[in-house]
Amino acid sequence: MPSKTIEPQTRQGREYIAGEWKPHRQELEVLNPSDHSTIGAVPVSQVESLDRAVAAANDALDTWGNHLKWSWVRRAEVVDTWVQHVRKHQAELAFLMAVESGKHLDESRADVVEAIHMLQYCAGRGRQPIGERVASEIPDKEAEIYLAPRGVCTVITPWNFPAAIPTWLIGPALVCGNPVVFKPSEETPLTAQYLVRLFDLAAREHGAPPGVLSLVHGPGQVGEHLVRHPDTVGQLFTGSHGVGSKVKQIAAAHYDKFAVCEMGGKNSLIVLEDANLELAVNAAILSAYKTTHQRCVSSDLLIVQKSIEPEFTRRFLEVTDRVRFGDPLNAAFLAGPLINRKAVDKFEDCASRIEEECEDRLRQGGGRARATSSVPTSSGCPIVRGPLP
Amino acid sequence: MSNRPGTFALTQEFFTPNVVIVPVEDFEEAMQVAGASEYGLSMSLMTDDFRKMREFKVLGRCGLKYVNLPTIGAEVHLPFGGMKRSGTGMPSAAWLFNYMCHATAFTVNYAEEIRMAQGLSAEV
Repeated sequence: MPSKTIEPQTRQGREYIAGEWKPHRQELEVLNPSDHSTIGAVPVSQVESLDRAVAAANDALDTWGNHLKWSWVRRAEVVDTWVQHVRKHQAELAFLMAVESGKHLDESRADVVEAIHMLQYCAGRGRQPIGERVASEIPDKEAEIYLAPRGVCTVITPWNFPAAIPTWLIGPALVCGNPVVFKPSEETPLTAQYLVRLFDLAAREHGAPPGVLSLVHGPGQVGEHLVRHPDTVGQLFTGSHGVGSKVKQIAAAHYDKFAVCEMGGKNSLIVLEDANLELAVNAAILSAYKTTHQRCVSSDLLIVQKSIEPEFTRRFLEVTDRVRFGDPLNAAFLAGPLINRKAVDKFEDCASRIEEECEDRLRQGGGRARATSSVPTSSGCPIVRGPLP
Repeated sequence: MSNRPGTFALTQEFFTPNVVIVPVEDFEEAMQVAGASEYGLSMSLMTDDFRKMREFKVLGRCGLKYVNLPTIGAEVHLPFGGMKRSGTGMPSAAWLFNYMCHATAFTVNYAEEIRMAQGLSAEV
């Protein structure tokens, strides 16, 4: 059963730098997207803190990333212990995530399971072959591909997968020997902090060097300082195209930086005339409405062969009418609210632009009346049909 | 192509619960519309036609392709990440592991003399 309460220490944002938790003035409120009530608050990390985190990470690199001192297997064992703590606390993490991000509890649970899978995968890699022996032209010469850590990494993650995406990036970085400074989305810093608290337990149990993973908080400028910092090498980013492009540009201008960016999509689901229509409609509903269409892989376009389009559309509209968004803790809803007021504005703007371009409005956008609650009702979701005028 | 290229609806990411249904003549036109944006993250094809499935696999310019499944539903041990505007093709479990390391060449000579590759003279 999920925990129904959030502990006071979980609500209070702290920086985690060089293995120490530091309370700070709480500057950024963390809101529940369902009702805009305050869950907690986090500090905005200042330049001094960020520089300390980067310095601590570079200090940790001398041990953590040095194969004369720490083995691959030992790094993977820390991650293995981490994932065991995550498993123990998965109900609390999922509940916190549902309240903080508005992701439906069902989806929040799956998000935590995905984080567990990723950390299990990373831990398992610790005993897999590393590098390769290769042949040489010269009989007395032996050649090897030796894999060296790349250096300190910045990890910047979005709100829509508050546990899974951080582990996708932090897990491989750590097992490969690269210390991390982690800046989660300011929408979901408490879920991220919970995850880092569980890492801290594992790190202490194994005597990992302090600074191998640091947590800082704040808006875009905080992330930008880390990306620009001359002592961070890897820039691991998931989020919008605009920010990701900036990360890539900053990395490209520096002799020793590299960027790993995942930056959204314009995804289509194509339905051909021989398709199983029931399956196609269900796939379209899941693609369009899970996480209230706030996944980077959500489908914007349903591209349907003309011969079956009227029937597909009839059935899709029928099921859409039953789709409900609302309280992420209530099983009656398919998905939760939009993340914040800015997203509601974007929803309205997007609907208007689409409706201007497309003459055939199958379902009028009506979300405006609900704009203050962040919850677009199903009837607020417009569906239009091309071809476009 | 009947669908006007370059429109907001066909090219820009919504990231909000808006949906556009686009009727097309055939598979070829569907692939054209699906590939018209600068993004290349995820795509689904609903069909039982195994030849179309293969064309979709080979020709689809995106990082995640699904047949008879939604465009959502990644698993951690598979690649994840987009082509084109969607990203650098990562993160993805196995490949990110390679990328997070610097591959270096390490070679040792066990002989008492130097012999060079490519037949290069070692005389000094």
